[in-house]
Amino acid sequence: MTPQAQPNDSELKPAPKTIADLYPQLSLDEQAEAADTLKRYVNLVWRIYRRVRRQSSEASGKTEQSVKPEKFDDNSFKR
Amino acid sequence: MPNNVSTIFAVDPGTRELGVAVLSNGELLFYGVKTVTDRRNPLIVLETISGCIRNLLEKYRPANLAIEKMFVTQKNSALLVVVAEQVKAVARETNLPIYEYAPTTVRKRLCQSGRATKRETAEVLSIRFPELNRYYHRTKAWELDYYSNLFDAVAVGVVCQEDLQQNESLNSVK
Repeated sequence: MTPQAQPNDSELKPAPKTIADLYPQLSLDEQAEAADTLKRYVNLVWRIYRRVRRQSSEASGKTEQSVKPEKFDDNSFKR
Repeated sequence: MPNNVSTIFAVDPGTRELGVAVLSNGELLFYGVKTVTDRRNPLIVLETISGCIRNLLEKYRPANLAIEKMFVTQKNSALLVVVAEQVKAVARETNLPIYEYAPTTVRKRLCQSGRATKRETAEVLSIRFPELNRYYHRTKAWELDYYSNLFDAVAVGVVCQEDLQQNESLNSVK
Protein backbone atom coordinates (compact mmCIF):
# COMPACT_ATOMS: atom_id res chain seq x y z
CA MET A 1 0.00 0.00 0.00
CA THR A 2 1.47 3.30 -1.00
CA PRO A 3 0.99 6.19 1.38
CA GLN A 4 -1.13 8.93 -0.09
CA ALA A 5 0.09 12.46 -0.07
CA GLN A 6 -1.37 14.25 2.99
CA PRO A 7 -2.06 17.96 2.74
CA ASN A 8 -0.02 19.85 5.27
CA ASP A 9 -1.55 22.05 7.98
CA SER A 10 -1.23 25.25 6.00
CA GLU A 11 -3.39 23.78 3.24
CA LEU A 12 -6.07 22.58 5.68
CA LYS A 13 -6.44 25.74 7.71
CA PRO A 14 -7.73 28.91 6.10
CA ALA A 15 -5.38 31.84 6.38
CA PRO A 16 -6.06 33.87 9.53
CA LYS A 17 -8.07 37.02 8.98
CA THR A 18 -6.25 40.26 9.56
CA ILE A 19 -7.61 43.65 10.53
CA ALA A 20 -6.94 44.72 6.95
CA ASP A 21 -9.13 41.85 5.67
CA LEU A 22 -11.95 42.79 8.00
CA TYR A 23 -11.80 46.55 7.46
CA PRO A 24 -10.23 47.17 4.04
CA GLN A 25 -11.81 50.61 3.88
CA LEU A 26 -9.80 51.87 6.87
CA SER A 27 -6.54 53.74 6.50
CA LEU A 28 -3.36 52.22 7.95
CA ASP A 29 -3.62 54.47 10.99
CA GLU A 30 -7.23 53.49 11.54
CA GLN A 31 -6.35 49.81 11.15
CA ALA A 32 -3.61 50.23 13.75
CA GLU A 33 -6.14 51.84 16.08
CA ALA A 34 -8.62 49.00 15.48
CA ALA A 35 -5.90 46.44 16.21
CA ASP A 36 -5.00 48.24 19.43
CA THR A 37 -8.64 48.40 20.53
CA LEU A 38 -9.11 44.70 19.78
CA LYS A 39 -5.95 43.84 21.71
CA ARG A 40 -7.12 45.81 24.74
CA TYR A 41 -10.55 44.19 24.58
CA VAL A 42 -9.18 40.63 24.33
CA ASN A 43 -6.79 41.31 27.21
CA LEU A 44 -9.65 42.56 29.35
CA VAL A 45 -11.89 39.59 28.52
CA TRP A 46 -8.97 37.29 29.27
CA ARG A 47 -8.47 39.01 32.65
CA ILE A 48 -12.18 38.61 33.46
CA TYR A 49 -12.06 34.94 32.48
CA ARG A 50 -9.05 34.33 34.73
CA ARG A 51 -10.68 36.10 37.68
CA VAL A 52 -13.94 34.17 37.31
CA ARG A 53 -12.01 30.93 36.95
CA ARG A 54 -9.84 31.70 39.99
CA GLN A 55 -12.89 32.53 42.09
CA SER A 56 -14.65 29.36 40.96
CA SER A 57 -11.58 27.33 41.91
CA GLU A 58 -11.37 29.01 45.30
CA ALA A 59 -15.06 28.39 45.91
CA SER A 60 -14.67 24.71 45.12
CA GLY A 61 -11.48 24.47 47.21
CA LYS A 62 -9.17 23.79 44.26
CA THR A 63 -6.09 25.77 43.36
CA GLU A 64 -6.05 27.47 40.00
CA GLN A 65 -4.14 25.76 37.22
CA SER A 66 -1.56 27.97 35.66
CA VAL A 67 -3.06 29.75 32.71
CA LYS A 68 -0.70 31.22 30.15
CA PRO A 69 -0.08 33.54 28.46
CA GLU A 70 -0.64 36.40 30.90
CA LYS A 71 -1.23 38.74 28.01
CA PHE A 72 -1.79 38.37 24.32
CA ASP A 73 1.24 39.59 22.49
CA ASP A 74 1.23 42.11 19.68
CA ASN A 75 1.89 39.39 17.11
CA SER A 76 -1.61 38.02 17.66
CA PHE A 77 -3.04 41.10 16.03
CA LYS A 78 -0.66 41.66 13.18
CA ARG A 79 -2.13 43.58 10.34
CA MET B 1 -33.68 65.22 14.03
CA PRO B 2 -35.34 62.67 11.69
CA ASN B 3 -36.69 59.39 13.01
CA ASN B 4 -33.90 56.91 12.39
CA VAL B 5 -34.68 53.18 12.38
CA SER B 6 -31.29 52.39 13.87
CA THR B 7 -31.43 54.96 16.66
CA ILE B 8 -31.75 53.46 20.11
CA PHE B 9 -32.72 55.19 23.29
CA ALA B 10 -31.24 53.24 26.20
CA VAL B 11 -32.24 53.65 29.83
CA ASP B 12 -30.97 52.34 33.12
CA PRO B 13 -33.93 53.10 35.39
CA GLY B 14 -33.36 54.43 38.88
CA THR B 15 -35.39 56.33 41.44
CA ARG B 16 -32.60 58.77 42.27
CA GLU B 17 -30.47 58.67 39.12
CA LEU B 18 -31.42 57.62 35.65
CA GLY B 19 -28.78 56.57 33.14
CA VAL B 20 -29.64 57.50 29.56
CA ALA B 21 -27.89 57.03 26.22
CA VAL B 22 -28.75 57.47 22.56
CA LEU B 23 -26.93 55.37 20.00
CA SER B 24 -27.09 55.42 16.25
CA ASN B 25 -25.04 53.45 13.72
CA GLY B 26 -22.46 52.47 16.31
CA GLU B 27 -22.02 56.03 17.55
CA LEU B 28 -22.95 57.49 20.89
CA LEU B 29 -25.06 60.54 20.12
CA PHE B 30 -25.89 61.37 23.71
CA TYR B 31 -25.17 59.99 27.15
CA GLY B 32 -25.76 61.22 30.65
CA VAL B 33 -27.20 60.76 34.10
CA LYS B 34 -30.42 62.51 35.02
CA THR B 35 -30.71 63.19 38.73
CA VAL B 36 -34.09 63.42 40.41
CA THR B 37 -33.58 66.17 42.97
CA ASP B 38 -37.17 66.79 44.00
CA ARG B 39 -38.08 63.63 45.87
CA ARG B 40 -40.92 64.85 48.06
CA ASN B 41 -43.14 61.97 47.02
CA PRO B 42 -43.16 59.09 44.50
CA LEU B 43 -45.58 60.90 42.20
CA ILE B 44 -43.17 63.79 41.76
CA VAL B 45 -40.34 61.36 41.07
CA LEU B 46 -42.41 59.65 38.37
CA GLU B 47 -43.47 62.96 36.81
CA THR B 48 -39.88 64.19 36.73
CA ILE B 49 -38.68 60.99 35.06
CA SER B 50 -41.54 60.99 32.54
CA GLY B 51 -40.78 64.59 31.60
CA CYS B 52 -37.12 63.82 31.14
CA ILE B 53 -37.82 60.76 28.96
CA ARG B 54 -40.35 62.68 26.84
CA ASN B 55 -37.87 65.52 26.26
CA LEU B 56 -35.17 63.13 25.10
CA LEU B 57 -37.58 61.19 22.87
CA GLU B 58 -38.71 64.44 21.33
CA LYS B 59 -35.15 65.61 20.75
CA TYR B 60 -33.61 62.42 19.34
CA ARG B 61 -36.71 60.66 17.92
CA PRO B 62 -35.30 57.15 18.39
CA ALA B 63 -36.90 54.09 16.81
CA ASN B 64 -36.24 51.69 19.69
CA LEU B 65 -36.11 51.66 23.46
CA ALA B 66 -33.61 49.47 25.30
CA ILE B 67 -34.03 49.17 29.03
CA GLU B 68 -32.39 47.21 31.81
CA LYS B 69 -34.68 44.58 33.26
CA MET B 70 -35.58 45.19 36.88
CA PHE B 71 -35.51 42.63 39.65
CA VAL B 72 -37.72 43.08 42.68
CA THR B 73 -34.98 42.03 45.10
CA GLN B 74 -33.19 45.34 44.64
CA LYS B 75 -33.30 47.96 47.37
CA ASN B 76 -36.15 50.42 47.03
CA SER B 77 -37.50 47.98 44.46
CA ALA B 78 -41.19 48.87 44.59
CA LEU B 79 -40.68 52.38 43.25
CA LEU B 80 -37.91 51.21 40.95
CA VAL B 81 -40.24 48.77 39.21
CA VAL B 82 -42.83 51.52 38.85
CA VAL B 83 -40.19 53.85 37.39
CA ALA B 84 -39.20 51.20 34.83
CA GLU B 85 -42.85 50.69 33.91
CA GLN B 86 -43.30 54.44 33.60
CA VAL B 87 -40.35 54.70 31.22
CA LYS B 88 -41.87 51.93 29.10
CA ALA B 89 -45.30 53.58 29.21
CA VAL B 90 -43.84 56.84 27.89
CA ALA B 91 -42.09 54.90 25.11
CA ARG B 92 -45.36 53.16 24.21
CA GLU B 93 -46.99 56.57 23.73
CA THR B 94 -44.78 56.93 20.64
CA ASN B 95 -45.11 53.24 19.67
CA LEU B 96 -41.46 52.50 20.28
CA PRO B 97 -40.56 48.82 20.33
CA ILE B 98 -39.16 47.96 23.76
CA TYR B 99 -36.20 45.65 24.31
CA GLU B 100 -35.43 44.53 27.85
CA TYR B 101 -32.16 42.97 28.95
CA ALA B 102 -31.15 41.45 32.26
CA PRO B 103 -27.84 42.75 33.64
CA THR B 104 -26.26 39.29 33.41
CA THR B 105 -27.25 39.02 29.75
CA VAL B 106 -25.66 42.39 29.03
CA ARG B 107 -22.45 41.44 30.84
CA LYS B 108 -22.25 38.11 29.09
CA ARG B 109 -22.65 39.77 25.71
CA LEU B 110 -20.10 42.52 26.35
CA CYS B 111 -17.56 40.72 28.54
CA GLN B 112 -18.12 37.10 27.46
CA SER B 113 -19.06 36.30 31.06
CA GLY B 114 -22.25 36.93 33.02
CA ARG B 115 -20.08 37.10 36.12
CA ALA B 116 -18.19 40.16 34.97
CA THR B 117 -18.47 43.07 37.38
CA LYS B 118 -20.09 46.44 36.70
CA ARG B 119 -16.60 47.93 36.68
CA GLU B 120 -15.31 45.45 34.12
CA THR B 121 -18.33 46.11 31.92
CA ALA B 122 -17.63 49.83 32.19
CA GLU B 123 -14.02 49.19 31.16
CA VAL B 124 -15.19 47.32 28.03
CA LEU B 125 -17.35 50.29 27.13
CA SER B 126 -14.55 52.78 27.76
CA ILE B 127 -12.41 50.81 25.30
CA ARG B 128 -15.20 50.85 22.74
CA PHE B 129 -16.09 54.50 23.28
CA PRO B 130 -12.95 56.47 24.23
CA GLU B 131 -15.13 59.48 25.06
CA LEU B 132 -16.32 57.54 28.13
CA ASN B 133 -12.78 57.13 29.48
CA ARG B 134 -13.08 60.24 31.64
CA TYR B 135 -16.11 58.76 33.38
CA TYR B 136 -14.43 55.39 33.87
CA HIS B 137 -11.27 56.80 35.45
CA ARG B 138 -12.86 58.25 38.56
CA THR B 139 -11.53 57.82 42.05
CA LYS B 140 -14.28 58.86 44.42
CA ALA B 141 -16.81 56.22 45.43
CA TRP B 142 -19.79 58.49 44.77
CA GLU B 143 -18.51 59.26 41.27
CA LEU B 144 -18.09 55.58 40.44
CA ASP B 145 -21.60 54.94 41.71
CA TYR B 146 -23.04 57.93 39.88
CA TYR B 147 -21.45 57.17 36.51
CA SER B 148 -22.26 53.48 36.74
CA ASN B 149 -25.80 54.57 35.74
CA LEU B 150 -24.38 56.02 32.55
CA PHE B 151 -22.37 52.88 31.75
CA ASP B 152 -25.38 50.64 32.44
CA ALA B 153 -27.48 52.61 29.97
CA VAL B 154 -24.78 52.56 27.28
CA ALA B 155 -24.26 48.82 27.86
CA VAL B 156 -27.90 47.97 27.33
CA GLY B 157 -27.97 50.19 24.24
CA VAL B 158 -24.93 48.52 22.70
CA VAL B 159 -26.39 45.04 23.17
CA CYS B 160 -29.71 46.14 21.68
CA GLN B 161 -27.88 47.71 18.74
CA GLU B 162 -26.01 44.48 18.06
CA ASP B 163 -29.29 42.53 18.15
CA LEU B 164 -30.96 44.91 15.73
CA GLN B 165 -27.98 44.85 13.36
CA GLN B 166 -27.95 41.07 13.45
CA ASN B 167 -31.68 40.94 12.69
CA GLU B 168 -31.18 43.37 9.86
CA SER B 169 -28.42 41.29 8.30
CA LEU B 170 -30.50 38.11 8.74
CA ASN B 171 -33.46 39.78 7.06
CA SER B 172 -31.31 41.03 4.21
CA VAL B 173 -30.03 37.49 3.62
CA LYS B 174 -33.58 36.11 3.32
